[in-house]
Amino acid sequence: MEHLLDAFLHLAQPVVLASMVAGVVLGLVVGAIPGLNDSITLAVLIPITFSVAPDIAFPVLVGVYCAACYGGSIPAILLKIPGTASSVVTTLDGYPMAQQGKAGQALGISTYSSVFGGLSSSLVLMFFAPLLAHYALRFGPPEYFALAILGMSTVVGMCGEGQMLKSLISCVIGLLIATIGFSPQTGYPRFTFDIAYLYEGVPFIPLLIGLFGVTSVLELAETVTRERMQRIAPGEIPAIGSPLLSRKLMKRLLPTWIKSSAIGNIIGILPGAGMIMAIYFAYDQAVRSNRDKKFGTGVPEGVAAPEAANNAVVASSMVPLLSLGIPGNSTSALFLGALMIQGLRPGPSLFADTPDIAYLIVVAFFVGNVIMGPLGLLLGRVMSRLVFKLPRELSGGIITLLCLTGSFAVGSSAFDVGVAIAFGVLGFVFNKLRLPHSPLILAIVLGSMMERGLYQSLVLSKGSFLIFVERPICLVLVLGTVFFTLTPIIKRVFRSKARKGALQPRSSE
Amino acid sequence: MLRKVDFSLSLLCLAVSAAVWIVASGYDPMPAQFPKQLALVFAILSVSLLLATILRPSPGQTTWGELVKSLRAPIVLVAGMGLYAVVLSRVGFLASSVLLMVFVCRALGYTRMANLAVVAAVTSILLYAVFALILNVPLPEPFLAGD
Repeated sequence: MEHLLDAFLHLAQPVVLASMVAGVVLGLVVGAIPGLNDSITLAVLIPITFSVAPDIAFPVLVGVYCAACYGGSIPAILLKIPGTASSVVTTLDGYPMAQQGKAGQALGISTYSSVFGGLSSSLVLMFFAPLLAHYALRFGPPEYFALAILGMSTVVGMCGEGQMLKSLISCVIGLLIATIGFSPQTGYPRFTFDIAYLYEGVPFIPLLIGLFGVTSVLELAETVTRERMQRIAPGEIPAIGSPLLSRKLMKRLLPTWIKSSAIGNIIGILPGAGMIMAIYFAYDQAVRSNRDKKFGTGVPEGVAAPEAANNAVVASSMVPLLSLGIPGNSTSALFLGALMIQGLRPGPSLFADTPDIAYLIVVAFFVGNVIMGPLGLLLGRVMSRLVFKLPRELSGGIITLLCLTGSFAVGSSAFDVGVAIAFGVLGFVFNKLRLPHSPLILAIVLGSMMERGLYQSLVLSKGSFLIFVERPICLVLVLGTVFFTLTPIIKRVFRSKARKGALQPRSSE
Repeated sequence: MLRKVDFSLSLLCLAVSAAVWIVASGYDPMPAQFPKQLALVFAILSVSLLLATILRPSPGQTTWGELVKSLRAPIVLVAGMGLYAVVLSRVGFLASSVLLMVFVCRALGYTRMANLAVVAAVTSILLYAVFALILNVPLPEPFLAGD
């Protein structure tokens, strides 16, 4: 509690608070620009934070992460173009509301819902992360190995239908990339081909910049070319009314906010599950709870549910990162990079060794969401008009330059620029082949922890694999792994049974 | 069906797993263990994907033709970025950055050259000022650094 109070006081300092506000404004802008998102912005910002004090750097990054998620709803509502992937579902009811002349109300619902979801998840982060970190201090090599396996199994288990094999392939590719460099056991160089830059492994920040930033530019190139060929005209911004919500509407939306925030928080804590799953679950829940309403025609709950859920994922996805060192999703993997570049080690020791920074990050999520509310209401309308004036072709050029300069800045070497380009191409090819990115990133992060944990455990147990089920925490993690791995198989069995059940009465008729 | 990308992907993965196994076999036994285990798992997954592609071809799979067509514009950008990485330290930060930005925006279809030249110059100077002058992050010399 003392650390939390200190963090609040630290964040109240004018310079720190100003950096937080700057981060929120930047997040709102990038979220509102279709083609830009939180991941790209964080990837670009991380090298810049390299020489900035952590108490300035992290509030900016947290502000961007919180606000970009909400900012994505602005073009989703006004133009039916999701600013970020997490706003895809918001278009379903947000755009029809805008067409009915309720654009302001839709933007207001999005703001209130995002703040509600964001605040709930920052409370979860505030109280759950230090608790989990406290328990994680008892972890030994077998627990770390089991944790790495659990992290990867959740990604695979939560993948879409028919995606399990490709998720596993993506995972193994990530693990193979993680083996590049000195072996964590013996220090023997592997797959380095005598390139000194690879001895410490593939540079992590340029890798992330490539996977997020460069990939997005390559995707943009493809999209722009396709649109030019199909002659798709840009949309017009409809008239926007007041974004303030009546007490009656807020009372009506409260159950949706509570349920959607709960869904977002639970999914956010699971490594790899991601925002997309949360927004679909939340929307589905809203549809089931409001059967009298025709969703897809401009129902306020259809905007409230995904917006509360996606912002609830934001802070809760930091719980596994800050407490266990495992990123909750791809964007929080970028925070891992930011922590590493500042010389901090995410995981249980973060709260024990550097409580000032750990709690500052936690508190920044809460304050960021508080700031986002009024700023969103104030700037939402202005920005929606301003951001659409920036041509995508120019933003593509600026992103490219930022990404490549940022990659160079990390190690002052053109090799890092090459790594960013190579991983940009890899990310683009992954998209084309429908190979998911999350398992790849998680496996790269967890690879060395997994290898070290496995072999240290086997040394401890003199080669016996029973060590992974004999220790209570380890056993729980192993059971979790089994559960997540079997989930898609169980789901498939249930679905085929349901299908057979649905067919039988027809055949008997 | 043979043209389907997943079929080629599975063969490529199989080749990578074989290459990893062969390269790792040249290492000391202890550090070779983990990569070899991964190579084995990768080979099994590749064969599973191969079988899945042959036995249950899904209609949504991307064909090589579609893939190559969609790659054309990004390939041009990658070539430009690669060239930037090569010449950055030789030509200097500002000149190469302005050229890169003009190249990328043109490749993406931006046609107003005067605007583009100004935006590219301002962006490059701002970036240099932020990274090198304000944050003291080492960047190549602004002009004609040479080796």
